[in-house]
Amino acid sequence: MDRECSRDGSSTSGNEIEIRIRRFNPTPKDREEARESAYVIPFVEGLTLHRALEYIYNRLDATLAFRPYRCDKGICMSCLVSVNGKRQQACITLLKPGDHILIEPDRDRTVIRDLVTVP
Amino acid sequence: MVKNLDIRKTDVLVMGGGGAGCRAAIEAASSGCRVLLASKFPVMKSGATVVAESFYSAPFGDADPEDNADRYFDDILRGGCGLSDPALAQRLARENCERTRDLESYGVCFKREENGRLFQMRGPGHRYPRGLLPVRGGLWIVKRLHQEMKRKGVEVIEDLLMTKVLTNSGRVAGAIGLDIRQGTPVLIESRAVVIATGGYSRLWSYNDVPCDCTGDGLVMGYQAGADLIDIEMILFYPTAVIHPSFLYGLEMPHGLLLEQVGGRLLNGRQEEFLPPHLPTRDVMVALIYRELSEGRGSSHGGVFLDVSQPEERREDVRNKLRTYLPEKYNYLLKKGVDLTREPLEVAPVAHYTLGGLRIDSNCQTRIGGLFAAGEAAGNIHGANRLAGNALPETQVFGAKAGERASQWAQGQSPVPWDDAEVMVEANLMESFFNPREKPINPSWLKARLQDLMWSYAGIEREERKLKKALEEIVRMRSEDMERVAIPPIREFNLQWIDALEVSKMLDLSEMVVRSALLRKETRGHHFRLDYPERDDRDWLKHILIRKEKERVSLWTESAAGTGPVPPETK
Repeated sequence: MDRECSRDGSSTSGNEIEIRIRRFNPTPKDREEARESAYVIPFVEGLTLHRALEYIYNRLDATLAFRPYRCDKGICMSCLVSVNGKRQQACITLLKPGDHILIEPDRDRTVIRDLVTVP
Repeated sequence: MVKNLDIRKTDVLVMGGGGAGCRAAIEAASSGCRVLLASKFPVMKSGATVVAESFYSAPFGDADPEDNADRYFDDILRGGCGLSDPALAQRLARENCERTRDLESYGVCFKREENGRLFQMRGPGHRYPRGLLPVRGGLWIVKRLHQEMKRKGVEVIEDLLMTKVLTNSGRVAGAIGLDIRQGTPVLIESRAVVIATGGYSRLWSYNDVPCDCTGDGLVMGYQAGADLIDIEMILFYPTAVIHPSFLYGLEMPHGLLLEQVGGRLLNGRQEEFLPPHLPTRDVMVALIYRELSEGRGSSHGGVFLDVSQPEERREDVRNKLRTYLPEKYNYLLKKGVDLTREPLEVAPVAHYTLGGLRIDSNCQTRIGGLFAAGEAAGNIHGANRLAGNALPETQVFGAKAGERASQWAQGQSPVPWDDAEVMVEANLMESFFNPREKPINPSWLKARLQDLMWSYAGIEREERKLKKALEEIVRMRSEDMERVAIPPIREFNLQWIDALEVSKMLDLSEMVVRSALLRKETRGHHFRLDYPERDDRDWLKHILIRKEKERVSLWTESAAGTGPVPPETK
């Protein structure tokens, strides 16, 4: 599904979430240091980390790289990332209002760019 | 020459890493051909098979010995409302069990009864119980196919977005695409190409398919000269969640929930409105839409799927849920939703695309060396597909396409690709980096197109709205697409993928709308408000599309096999 909310457009609440993302660009000039980007997004009921990344990509930062595929069941591991230092699948990671989280690429894999990794 | 062009050589190129693509690659490699499989994203992390619901129809007759391939064939034809191609339906019916046994030999398990027979349940439109439950669903089908593919020595390239099939004198010369990781063009020289890139349900904003099902393969096939057939036929899944909103788009298997678990589908007034025997999905969608349009919908614009029971009967429902859909039941529990206590609001969403590339019963398109299989191929199911027939379709036609593609490759000498054609395609890819006045973000354009298709060419169709959709699509392509610009990043640039996808989605949307406009009747999943009746006198016909002199040409052909009607060119 593409939509962040239902057909009637309901369920936005006033609370926000802060997401910091470790960025990595493989072109030589950037290779030395990874940087970090911070985004503040609105919380909606049932918001998963993957949908939050889609929100950031679609509305705040089109340069963000992450794995767009999601099975939404937590079975395919496509969206595996590190959340506050813990390996998690973004599609089944539920966010809470007021969360402050740091997202990094999965550390056991090779980084292509930002959160995109390969074995 | 194109800068940084990475050139590979193979005998058979398979595009698409889902069920059909992997099966095609296995079969082609079995004959000793060199096989290369290109997948837009990594295998097991791409395509629709991975997320497929656990329902796989096959006429084994384990639950009812009266069942056989002939009866299954009759049901497919009846379900297809006259548009299923008998030769293809015949192949699906006759070869289904054998291909399913192949899957078992690769290590796929299907649920069995205590006596060792296959568990088989009846699905809507099937007169006999045929529905197998693959253990752990579609993901494990792809996992086992992937293992087998590796054993057979298939070379797999992941994160490779194919954009164009190269031809020379009506024959396949190879294909070109974008290496998403590096951001560089890749040319694959190949004598045969199998398009197994899946369907195009992502043309609509409300769908239950993964992000990669954008119909790239149909447009590549069309551009190479192959025909498209009945692409106005979109299977809308009747019961996807619309509320609570955090489960939006989750498919709820109505066959299992209503027939096995004993649930009910209720309108906003808590009344049942389905007939006692669950109808096929096209009829179900029409019945749900009748409730909605006559003002009997739920508060969020759907109907209630209710398996809840009073306390004393809950344990029984729980047991049934654990038996028939354990993964889904547990997943919902984790999200705080207990089906035994509360109903969900559901409505139809785009689920499976019935039309596609026209193939003969050997999966061959009209271009020499170009084959198609799986959801990317059309004319198999007709105007509606019976539940559980998508997964066996991937196996039966995947295997056939692989077999024929390898035979073709072994019997032909390679034809040279045209350097100019490669240059044009590579420049097109690069052109998105050009600076634009008033640039447009491709993911924004994609969302606009999906909204347009849902509102004006979605479930309920009429001439006025379809014409408006067509006008807007043409405008989007000539004005908006020209302004699409992307950030100057080569490695894994999602905007680049979006730009390449949306440019094909615009072409395909135009063709879908033209077909929907032309079919002035209601049949299967095609509902015309202005032509509400099925018209067998004038419309027992296929709608075909071909590229002629760089233009979209549509014509109809009798579905009874009486020959073509003269083309109607744009």
